[in-house]
Amino acid sequence: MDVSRRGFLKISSAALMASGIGINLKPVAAHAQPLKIKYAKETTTICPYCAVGCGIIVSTRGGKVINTEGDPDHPVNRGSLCSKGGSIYQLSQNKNRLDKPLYRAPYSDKWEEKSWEWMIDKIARNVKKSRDKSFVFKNEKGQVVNRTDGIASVGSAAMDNEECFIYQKLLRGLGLVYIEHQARI
Amino acid sequence: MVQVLKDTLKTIDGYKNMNPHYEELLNILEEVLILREMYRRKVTGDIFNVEESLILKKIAGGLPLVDFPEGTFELEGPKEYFIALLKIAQKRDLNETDEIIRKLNAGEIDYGEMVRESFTLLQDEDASDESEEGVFDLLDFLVEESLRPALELLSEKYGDIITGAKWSEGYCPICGREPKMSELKGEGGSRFLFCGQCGFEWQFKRIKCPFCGNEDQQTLAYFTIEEEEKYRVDVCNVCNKYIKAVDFRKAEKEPNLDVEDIATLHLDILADEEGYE
Repeated sequence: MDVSRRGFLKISSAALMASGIGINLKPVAAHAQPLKIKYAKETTTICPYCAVGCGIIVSTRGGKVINTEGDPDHPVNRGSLCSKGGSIYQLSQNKNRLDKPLYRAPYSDKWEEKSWEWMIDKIARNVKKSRDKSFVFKNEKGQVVNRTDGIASVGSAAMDNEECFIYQKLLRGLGLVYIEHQARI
Repeated sequence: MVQVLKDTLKTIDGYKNMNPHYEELLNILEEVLILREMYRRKVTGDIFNVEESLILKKIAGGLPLVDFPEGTFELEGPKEYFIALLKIAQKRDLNETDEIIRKLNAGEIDYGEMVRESFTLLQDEDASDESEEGVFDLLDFLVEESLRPALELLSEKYGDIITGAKWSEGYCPICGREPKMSELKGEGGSRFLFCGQCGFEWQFKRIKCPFCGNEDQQTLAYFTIEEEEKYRVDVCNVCNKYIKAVDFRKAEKEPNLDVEDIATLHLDILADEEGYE
């Protein structure tokens, strides 16, 4: 056992003379013996939400997130995070987060569980219906506008930069102009 | 300072009640801390003759202020403190300690040589072949402690300059020793390395091995034990070294790292069992 760096768990070397002045660590070793250790890993990442790009340290154990905190060595935020970035742990671990699509039919007072396929199909039909009904090809002045005034989008606090980018591409492709995001509200 | 010492002694008392297996070691530390406070007042000047005009250059070049392996210093003060410290050991092992004091006074053992030895051993790990398991070496501990008041003076005097110059090495900028502990503190949770030799703390990157400079996040890790969230052990799987860390951010009190180091020796034992040194 070579723990010379720490200056204990060893008897001093010959030049320091063979000293008998040591404190027995057996009681401490006995205390340590039943203790269970748990390993974790720290990795750095960039907050996905806004363009500030704060650094975050993510602790994981067995591939599961166990803690997130601001990275003190990151030049942008030096350990600080806003309330949204500070609660990013919940993006991964949150019992209240929905993990199945829920559907509430018109005039109904309850939610029903539906499959993703059913949901995407339903959304596509509703979008098509609303878009066909409200699509404006030309405005009053006769200018081509190709817009969909019957649909608006408000979302989403939990979407990151890249998801937002693709999402707004889709919306603009449909002709939406009422596009809003949580960060602006 | 006296109030700080009082608080520390209170903490030690609390730890002794909670962890009887640390009683003997904490009793010794208690005596050492009281004695240190007395000797700190006796230290009036810098016995290491640090050349002030060279400080910034040394820091920039990664050199500690005091060159223990090569330099020669006027060590009368630390030697006097060392003999006083040995009186603490005397209570544990009268004959052995008496013999050391006699040899020191007779000049058969050179205190300066002991100091140099304690620093050069760091670079020559093979020198500690004659190791014995499960023993806390009091003599080593006391040799290190004997220089503390004189080195604390340097850390008080030049600490701000060193911090301002952004020392970023994994060894102490004052004496060159490797850190004994680390601490996560402040609002941002920065890591500070703590030198047990000088009592100096300096900021260091969170995800980096202080010993080999490894920054690969896949080969660095840490372990904790249940119900001790305040402590963790950071390990490096490249150089196989570890460093204990205390995180008192939630406890709302300032830890005394000398005390925390002794009170977490079980973590050193566990790290050793895990194959880290």
